[in-house]
Amino acid sequence: MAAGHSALLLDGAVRDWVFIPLTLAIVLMKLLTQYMHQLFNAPPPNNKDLKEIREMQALTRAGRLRGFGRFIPETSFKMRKEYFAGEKGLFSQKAVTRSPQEAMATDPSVMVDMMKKNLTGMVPQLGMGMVVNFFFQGFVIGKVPFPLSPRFKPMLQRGIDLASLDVSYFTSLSYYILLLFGLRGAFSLVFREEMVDETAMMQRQMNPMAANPMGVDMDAAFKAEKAALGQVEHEWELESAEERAVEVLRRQLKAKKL
Amino acid sequence: MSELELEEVERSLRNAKGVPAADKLIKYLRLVRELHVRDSPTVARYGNILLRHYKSHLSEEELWLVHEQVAVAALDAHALPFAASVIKAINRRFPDSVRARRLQGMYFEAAGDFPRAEEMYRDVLATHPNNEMALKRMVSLERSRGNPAAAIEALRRYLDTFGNDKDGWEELAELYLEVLNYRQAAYCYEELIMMNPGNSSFYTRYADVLYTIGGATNYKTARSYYAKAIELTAGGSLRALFGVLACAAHITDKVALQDARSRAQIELPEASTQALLRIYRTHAPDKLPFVEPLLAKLAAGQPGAQ
Repeated sequence: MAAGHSALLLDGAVRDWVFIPLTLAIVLMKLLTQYMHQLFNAPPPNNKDLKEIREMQALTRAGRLRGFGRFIPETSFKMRKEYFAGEKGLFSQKAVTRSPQEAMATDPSVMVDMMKKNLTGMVPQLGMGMVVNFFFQGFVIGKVPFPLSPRFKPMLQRGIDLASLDVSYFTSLSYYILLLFGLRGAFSLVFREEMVDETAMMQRQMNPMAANPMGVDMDAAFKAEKAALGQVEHEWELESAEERAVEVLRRQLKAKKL
Repeated sequence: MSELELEEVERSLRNAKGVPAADKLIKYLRLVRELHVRDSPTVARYGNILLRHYKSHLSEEELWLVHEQVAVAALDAHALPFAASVIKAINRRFPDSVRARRLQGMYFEAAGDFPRAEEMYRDVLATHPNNEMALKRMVSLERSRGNPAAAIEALRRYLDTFGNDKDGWEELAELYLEVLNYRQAAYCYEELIMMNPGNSSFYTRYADVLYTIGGATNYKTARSYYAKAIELTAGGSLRALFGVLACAAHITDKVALQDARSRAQIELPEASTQALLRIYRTHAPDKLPFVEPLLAKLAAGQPGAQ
């Protein structure tokens, strides 16, 4: 297809009433999303309960007791073991920390949080998609200044099914999608704070469980740690400390006079 | 490496005529932050210069980090008016930040206005009950009030939740020693030994506490821990060497020469004495006349000699 031969003349009204309003609408929507995101995310996710922290830290402590308990005397070791893994020990009680599934079922705020995230992410996008579909459908609004292979047709000419149309023309719907994802870079220059990341947001929507890596099944962790502690026999590392000390001193004394 | 760098920067700052260069000041403060050096008067002086002359040389983030650092240093150096001005600037920039309010509380502490400081921290804790900084400030607040019992209570509550805080356990051990509660202090040192099994000073201090509690078992355990400290320091810890001798003087039961362990127990005091004598001979020969009779007494089994 020779360029001059089939050049399409686009009406100036398309530029004034489709191209410019569409661009404006997308930029404004992005701004709105950004501010909504900031608004909803204002309280930092520091809502961990003291008791939950305590349980996490207790697990670490118990792990350390298993690893380095040989450095303290046996009675002290047994006392701690009893505290963690005894009949009435910490790990025999039910954990306060709830698994994410449980938290979701019982705590409405988790659901609300997720709703908010969806609200800021998905709803404006859907709405915009509908608006664009309704008002700006079926316009060819521009031409990329370079030739493209026919494979780009579904990407650039969404909404128009014209086999004879040159691939380098793009339609309003494709332009919308292009801007939607392409503006992120430009926006991140303007906003110093973290931008709403669409890709991350989509990931979150695909897999809400993976989005919350802090969710640990504390009860299972308690059980495992209790069993592991029960296995450990105390072997005092300092049983032979005196021998080694004597050896060290002897070697020192034998060595050159300081 | 970095310490050497810090020294170098500090030297060049000291030798600078007039107002030192901005990049040197920034580098110095950054190194102090990274290495956790506590040289408050110097930090406050150079921070003052930096904030007065070269504010624009710092990026937004670092500018406020420096503000915080300089504010704490100024409080530590008791330069209260200067600290107040810096903290005011921070408060203007971050009106509802918890970190800013901690600084305010610390200012009240430094100024001796404990009730207002406490009010400040309680305020923070009401909204952020798991704020470590505020919880720890409460401990230090009670300590400066001269109320170790309350400080212990606050610190225990803190450690019950944040049981992996090494500095917290160290502080608690000291507090317990202050109120002569040796058993609890021993517990803290056990916790510290587990956190850092390579640090000889915890072994020595733990042994000290055990020795102070007394009793045949504790003397023996203390001896083991002194021995471990000797092993870790390659015989360089005088406290551990003396400790072994003091414990040996208390342990009266006879050990038969059966195995390697009991032989070591018999030989250890003698070896420690030799080591001590050698160290004194090389490093402090003038003290030998005092040390020799002391060691002789200890060897003869008179613990009171020390």
